[in-house]
Amino acid sequence: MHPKNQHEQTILAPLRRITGRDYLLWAVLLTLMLTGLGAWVWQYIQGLGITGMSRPVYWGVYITNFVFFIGLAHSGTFISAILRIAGQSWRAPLTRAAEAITLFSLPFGAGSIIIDMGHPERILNLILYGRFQSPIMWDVTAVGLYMLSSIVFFYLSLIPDIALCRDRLTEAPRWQQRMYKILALGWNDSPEQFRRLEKVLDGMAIFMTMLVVTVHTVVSWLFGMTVQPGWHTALIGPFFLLGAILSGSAAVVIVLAILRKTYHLEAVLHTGLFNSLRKLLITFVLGWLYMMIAEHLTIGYASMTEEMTVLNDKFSGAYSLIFWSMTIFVFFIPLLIFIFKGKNNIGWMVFASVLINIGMWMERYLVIIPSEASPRLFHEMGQGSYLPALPEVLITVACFAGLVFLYALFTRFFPIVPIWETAEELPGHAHAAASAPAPSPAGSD
Amino acid sequence: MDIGQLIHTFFNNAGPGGVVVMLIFGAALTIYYFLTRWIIAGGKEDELAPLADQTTSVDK
Repeated sequence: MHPKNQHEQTILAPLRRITGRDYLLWAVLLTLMLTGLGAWVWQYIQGLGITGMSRPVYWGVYITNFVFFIGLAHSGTFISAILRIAGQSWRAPLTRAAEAITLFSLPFGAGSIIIDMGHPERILNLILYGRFQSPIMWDVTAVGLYMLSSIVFFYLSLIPDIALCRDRLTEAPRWQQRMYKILALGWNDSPEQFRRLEKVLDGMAIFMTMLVVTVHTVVSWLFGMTVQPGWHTALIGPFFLLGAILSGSAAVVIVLAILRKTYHLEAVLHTGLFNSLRKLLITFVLGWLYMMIAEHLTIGYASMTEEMTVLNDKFSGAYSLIFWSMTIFVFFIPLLIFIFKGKNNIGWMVFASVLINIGMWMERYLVIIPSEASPRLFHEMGQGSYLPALPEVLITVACFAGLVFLYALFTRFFPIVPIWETAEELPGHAHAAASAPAPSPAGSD
Repeated sequence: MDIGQLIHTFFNNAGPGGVVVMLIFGAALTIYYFLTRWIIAGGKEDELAPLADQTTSVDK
């Protein structure tokens, strides 16, 4: 017996029919991805010299993308794992949509590092000659383990719904039915399976929470362990982590709104969910502002020469336009929207969330480029400058296209809202009544 | 055995880091594999449970 969910048909509807618009979207995204692949081959043959990077700016948009995508990946773990531990039952309908962001952005985050290496085979050096003195080894360990654990966490919670697809989507092509059969691993919806699954997911949620903190802290330590101005601060870990959760949660709002509109999931992804996310986002935006002030005030008050060069570049120099735009995009406009316009208004919520993500990409760029352009060993290395070159732009566009492509593809073959987690009744199980929220009215918060 | 020397050797030599990374990934994969098997096996135990009950009642 499968879980009883009144919205089952609504959730399964996108899986029953692939439209011409889907094929068109996939074709456009694949073209962008292939263009990026071409740019990467061009870079592989010609070397990193064709990028905008040059001494002393060794990290450009590739590392910006790395930090941004890893940050985006925190949405899934936050929504699914941390809120699971906190017993926030309203999160159930949006867990898979959030976890899918994690799953599909991590490869592009980790991949950006490999692209930045110029020659991907150099990754083998980490295995052959790895030493734990180097923060890059900490990074490889944490990001690799996070990726592996995210895949398992995501897959385990997907199994009951794959089994449901196996039994319900009998009109699907044979290869698709075969795929469901293999991936379902013989799941038969027994109460004991559900009991064990919940037990494992609860345990993994604790482990994933520890991992999420570790991963972004370690990512920040790639910068923090050097003595470059603007990077060498103990605050960089929590600052990166908060920024990651902010951009990740904002990304969840964008994705949910698109899914709701495209797949007509209004009854499942109700306005109450957006209102709950709005409250979380207000907290994160304010937390991020606190970090910004603490970081820049400490540097500015001490007035150390090298640090001040970078700070002045951001506040009133070459990067001031990006810096103040970033502040407006991440803080001022979203906060005003969330407080005065966002309640019960998904359009405004999406607008604010898009601004947050554009702003957070700028923030990642600002963390990296100004510090590298004005290094601590300025007299030896000289003043740097950086502007992304064509291959970097094409590869960046390809990474974003890849993320959207994988996501769009997934939603056409697997239920994007967890059917068993939002079910009114599970086989021989009282779980659902406690954890699945009934669609709440719009103004319920 | 000089523990301090061992730790120093671990952190200052090329190679051990890679081995540790492989061990961590290997251990995680093994644990996840057995956890998945354990969850799925729950279905078989549920199927077997009524049979076990029946056997007991016949013996009595």
